[in-house]
Amino acid sequence: MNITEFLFNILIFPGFLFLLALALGLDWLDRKLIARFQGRVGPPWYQPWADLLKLFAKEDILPAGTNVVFTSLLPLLSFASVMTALFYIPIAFRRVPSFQGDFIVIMFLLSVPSLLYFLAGWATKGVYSIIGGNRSLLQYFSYEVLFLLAISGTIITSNSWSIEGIRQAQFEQGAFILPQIFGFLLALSGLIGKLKRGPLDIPKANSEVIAGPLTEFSGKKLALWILTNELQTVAGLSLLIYCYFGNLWQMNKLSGFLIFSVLLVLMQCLLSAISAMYARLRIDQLIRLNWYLLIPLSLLHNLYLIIK
Amino acid sequence: MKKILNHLRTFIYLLPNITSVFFSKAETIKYPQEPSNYSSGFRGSVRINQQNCVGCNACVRDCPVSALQLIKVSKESFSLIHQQDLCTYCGQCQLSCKFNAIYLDNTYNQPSADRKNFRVVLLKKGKL
Amino acid sequence: MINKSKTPKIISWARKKSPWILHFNTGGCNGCDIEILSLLTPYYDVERFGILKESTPRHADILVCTGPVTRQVKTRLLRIYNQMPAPKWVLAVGSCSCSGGVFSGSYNILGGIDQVLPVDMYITGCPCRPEAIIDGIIKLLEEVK
Repeated sequence: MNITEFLFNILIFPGFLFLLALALGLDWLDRKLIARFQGRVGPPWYQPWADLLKLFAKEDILPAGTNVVFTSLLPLLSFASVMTALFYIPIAFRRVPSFQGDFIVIMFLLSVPSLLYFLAGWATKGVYSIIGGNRSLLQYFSYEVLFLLAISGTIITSNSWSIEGIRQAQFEQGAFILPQIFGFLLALSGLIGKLKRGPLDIPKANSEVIAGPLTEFSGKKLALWILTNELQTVAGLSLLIYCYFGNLWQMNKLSGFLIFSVLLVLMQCLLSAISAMYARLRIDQLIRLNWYLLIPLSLLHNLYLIIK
Repeated sequence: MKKILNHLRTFIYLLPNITSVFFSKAETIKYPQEPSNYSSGFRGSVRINQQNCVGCNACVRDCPVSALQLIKVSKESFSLIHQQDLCTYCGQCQLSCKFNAIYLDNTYNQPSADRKNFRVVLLKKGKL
Repeated sequence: MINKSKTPKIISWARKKSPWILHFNTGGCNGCDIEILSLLTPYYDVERFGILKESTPRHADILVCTGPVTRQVKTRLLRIYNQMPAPKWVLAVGSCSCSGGVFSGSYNILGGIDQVLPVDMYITGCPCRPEAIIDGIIKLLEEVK
């Protein structure tokens, strides 16, 4: 691999620019779909691009008394961790450097933004920020366990802790979506909490706590937070696609790419439909639902997979 | 458990609604506006019938916010000035007018960056 | 409040396409607030112009004020205005916020928004039509550089 190909890979095709286009495209699809579900017209396709550009060109102010270096570091760190996670997740048909245990690395890197989200609320010292930050931490303790337990069904079946191992197992046994549809649905509901969207947008509930931890952020930092959330959507959805539909792109590159994009759009439609249909849960309702019902169910599911 | 079942039922009930929007048009009106049908009671901009007005001062006297101003030189020559940014569009001038001259139609005032544009000369009669 | 130095074309395009509004009632009767909220309904869907209603001044570009400025709210209005990041505009919605309207001359009223802040666009009406508010925002965005 020569240097130009390396730079092309990093910056343009499976790298930064492609991921940016994918993330903003999915964001537009989400906003448009929710608008159509509500009988509205919805924003044009360039809307997320315009929003981000405008935010990057705006003045960046912080409330007095906050640590400027710390608050600037938070969105940068969360952005960097999501980009690093995306380096290990096979987007489209890209081959990734895989090693035993990289699944744990991806899960950790994807959960870093949630923790930094809490710190962002704590660091900016607003009342709403602190409430939102506490809520995001509470939510983190419920959905993260659910997501990891539900998706570990694929690890149990494939008997491997690496992305490549899960892929190989699906080549031999067929896609995991049909035998583990239950685990897939549980993982999807965990993912909704992870992305702070749909009925589980408790930390940034617009009518309750203004904008949650992001209340005091403006300009470039806010743009980075929004971008992080959108890239997290891409990362989470592609991780789910990879773990449950892994054998679908054993064909050539083009058909693999097509299947990947169709699946991505379908899952985004499902997420948008869920967030358009359901009202926001209270934080205690969410925790009760997760710890009393969904986590025991995912444990039972895993037990069934082990016995089988 | 019952709540969860209710949630699932919601999903099944709403699924046809949600899929049907792909085949139907959005409710949103076009911009610039297509002609809307306002209710008959809607009070928009203040307008005047040039012929009917005699300059009797009744509307100016009854206006609760002094948004109307009559500059009268003689019985034949006078001018009526309306302050759009002060007016509350209550329709009192329409009620007070005995000659069906002043009335409120169903259009709205255009926004402006300068408040001077809201001082509108409704009527100019004779020599001023 | 517009930056004097030349902005790149793409930035001014982005500013025109994504005006996020912050709604603030400076002491009015709530009539215009209801008209502003009706902008979000499917009938006058303003998200097609990129307009989003934000709840915090840090995210907003346009401050949409309704009602006359009371003596009590003056300091808060100035504070909210100062909390907004730099390219920012003020929209006075309704007759009260243009001139004081039916409240003008009252002992606790300072007058319209222009007594406190530089206003970029006035929209009359009591309450103003939602179409007029959309017109005002579009007209305001035409002057954005």
